[in-house]
Amino acid sequence: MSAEAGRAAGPDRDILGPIRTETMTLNMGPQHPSTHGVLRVVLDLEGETVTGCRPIIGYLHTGIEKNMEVKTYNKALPMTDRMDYLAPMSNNLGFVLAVEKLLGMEIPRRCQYLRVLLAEITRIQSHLVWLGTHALDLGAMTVFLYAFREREAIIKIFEKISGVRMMTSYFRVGGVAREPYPEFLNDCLAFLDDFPSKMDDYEELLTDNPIFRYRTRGVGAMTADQAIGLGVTGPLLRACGFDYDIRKKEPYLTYGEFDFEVPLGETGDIYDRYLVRMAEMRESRKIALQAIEGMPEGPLMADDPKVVPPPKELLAHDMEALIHHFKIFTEGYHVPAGEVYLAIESPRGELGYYIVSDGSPQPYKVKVRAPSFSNLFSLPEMVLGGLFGDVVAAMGSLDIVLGEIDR
Amino acid sequence: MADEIEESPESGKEEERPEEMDEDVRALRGLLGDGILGVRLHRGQISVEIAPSALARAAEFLCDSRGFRQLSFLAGVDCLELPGPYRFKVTYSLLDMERTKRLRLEVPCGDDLEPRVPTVSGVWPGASPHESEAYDLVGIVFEGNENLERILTPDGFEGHPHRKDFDISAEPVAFSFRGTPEGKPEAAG
Repeated sequence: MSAEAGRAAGPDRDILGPIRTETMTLNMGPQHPSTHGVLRVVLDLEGETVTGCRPIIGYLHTGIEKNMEVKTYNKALPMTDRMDYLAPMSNNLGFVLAVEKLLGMEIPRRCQYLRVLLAEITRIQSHLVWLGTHALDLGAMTVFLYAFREREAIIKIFEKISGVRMMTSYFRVGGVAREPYPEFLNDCLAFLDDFPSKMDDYEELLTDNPIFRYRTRGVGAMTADQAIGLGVTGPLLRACGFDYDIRKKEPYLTYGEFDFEVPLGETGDIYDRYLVRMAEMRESRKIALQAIEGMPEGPLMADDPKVVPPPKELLAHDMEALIHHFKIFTEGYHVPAGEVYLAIESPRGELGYYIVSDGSPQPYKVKVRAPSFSNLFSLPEMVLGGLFGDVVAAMGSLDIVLGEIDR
Repeated sequence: MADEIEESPESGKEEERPEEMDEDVRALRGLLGDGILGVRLHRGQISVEIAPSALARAAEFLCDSRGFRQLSFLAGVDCLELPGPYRFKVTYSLLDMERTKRLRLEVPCGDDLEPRVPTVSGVWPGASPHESEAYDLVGIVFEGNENLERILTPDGFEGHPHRKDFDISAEPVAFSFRGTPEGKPEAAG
C-alpha cells in the first residue's frame, strides 16, 4: 500500500522511482493554531503525502444537550450561542424557530424582518472570521487584521442591541429580548454602506494573489456526490456546484420575499469555497439592506402571554401580567408533546434542532444537528493522497467551530 | 396495529391520512409491508416508524430509488419517561435535495440495555460519526459499523450520559486525594 501511495504523490516520485519511506504518524493538535479550537487530527504520512487522516473530537464536549433537558426552554436558549460562538444569532434562531414550531406560534412580521437582518449580519460576521483566519493560515496576515476590524463593527452592534458582544441570546421564543435601540437601523446601514469597498480590499489582496491561488486552486477538492453522501452542507456543498440553500429551498422567516442569489462554485476546491463565501457576504448584505428598507411597523413580540413575558412596566399595576411573569420565570411554559426537526441555513450549513417534548416546561431531548460536525468528517476525503502542507489549507476552508461539533 | 396512524391533536388542518398524502410512505409500505409499525404526522412533519429488521432495506430503497441521498443526522433517544412500549429508538432524518423533501425514520430498538440496530453507514457514508455519537451518548450499538467508538466522551468513560437514568450527581473526578500512584497511604481528608 505504501509503495502505491508513494507513486501517487507527484512527478518527483515518478522520476526517482518507488522509494519506500517509513510511515509516520503525526498528531496535529489538539492545540494547533490552525485547528480553530481544540481538534486533534491523526495523520499518517509517507514523506509529504497524507495516507491517513482521522479527526478526533470531544475536547470541548460540555454536555450542552443533556444540560438542556433539565432547564426550561428559556434557560436552554443561552446555551445555544455557546455552541457556535461565531454565529450566535443563527444558533438562537434555529432553537427559537424549533420551539415556536412545537408551540404552533405565529411571529409578527416586524420581528421576522429583524431576525432576518440580524441573521444575515451574523453571517457576514462569521464569514469575516473565517476569511481572516483562513488567510492567516495561508500566510496572509493583512487580511486577518482587516477582517477583524470590520467584524468589530458588527460586534459593537450586537453589544448595543443585546448587551453582549458574542453570547447574544437576543432571539427569544415569541420574539426578541427587547426593542432594538433607536439608532440600530442607522448603525446597520452605516456598516452595510461601507462594506462593499472593504470587500473590494479583501478581494484585491487574495483573489488574484498568486501565492493564495497556488495554495488553494485544485487543492482539497471533492465532488457534489461525495459531499451529499457525507452530509456536507452549506458553502462547502455549494462550492461543488450543487445548489442547495435552505433559505431558498425551504424558506423560513421571510426569506421567500427577498431577492438574492445563491453563489455556486464549479470544482469544489478550496479556491471555490473562498469565492462562494465572498459572494455570500455580498448577498447577505443585499438581504440585510432589503430587510432594513422593508422593515414593517407593528408589534415585535408574539401575542401569547403564556410564553412571552409582559412588558416590565405592566407588572406594577396589572395582577394578571404579574402572574404570567412569575409563571414564565419560575415554572416556564408547557410545550405540547411531540417532536420536531427544524433546519436553518447557518453560515456553516444546515443547522438543525431536533426537539422532543413530553409536554413539560423542559425539553425531553434536544439534538443539535451541527453543520460543522458533518463537514469536519469530510476532511479525510479532501486530504488523502494530497500533500501534508495542504491539510492546513483544507482545514481552514472547512470553517469549523469545535464548540458546535463537541457541544 | 400495522395500520395505526396517530394524529397529534394539535395538527389542526392536517387531517388527511399521512400515508395517502405521501407517495414515499406509500412506496415504503409497498416494499416493507409489516415492517412499517406506524406513521405519524406532527406539525407537518412525517415520521415513519419501522422495525429494525427492515431498516437496511428501507435505507437502501430510500437512498437509491427515492432520492433521499443525504442523511442530515441520526440520534439515539432514550424513551424511558415517554409513554410507549419501548425504551430506545433511533431517529434518522433524511433529505432529498432534488425535491426538497424531508422524511424522518424512527427505529425502536428493544428494551434491553444494549439496544442493537444495523448500521446505515454503507448507504450514507456520513452516518458513521453520527452512529459513533449515538453509541457514545445513548449506548446504541450499530451492528456492522467497524468504526464505532466513543467520540465525545473521554477515553475510559463509563456509561452513556444521554440515558435518562445516567447518574448526573456522581460524575467521577479525574483527581483524587485518596492514595497516590506509588501506593503511599491516603492523604488526610
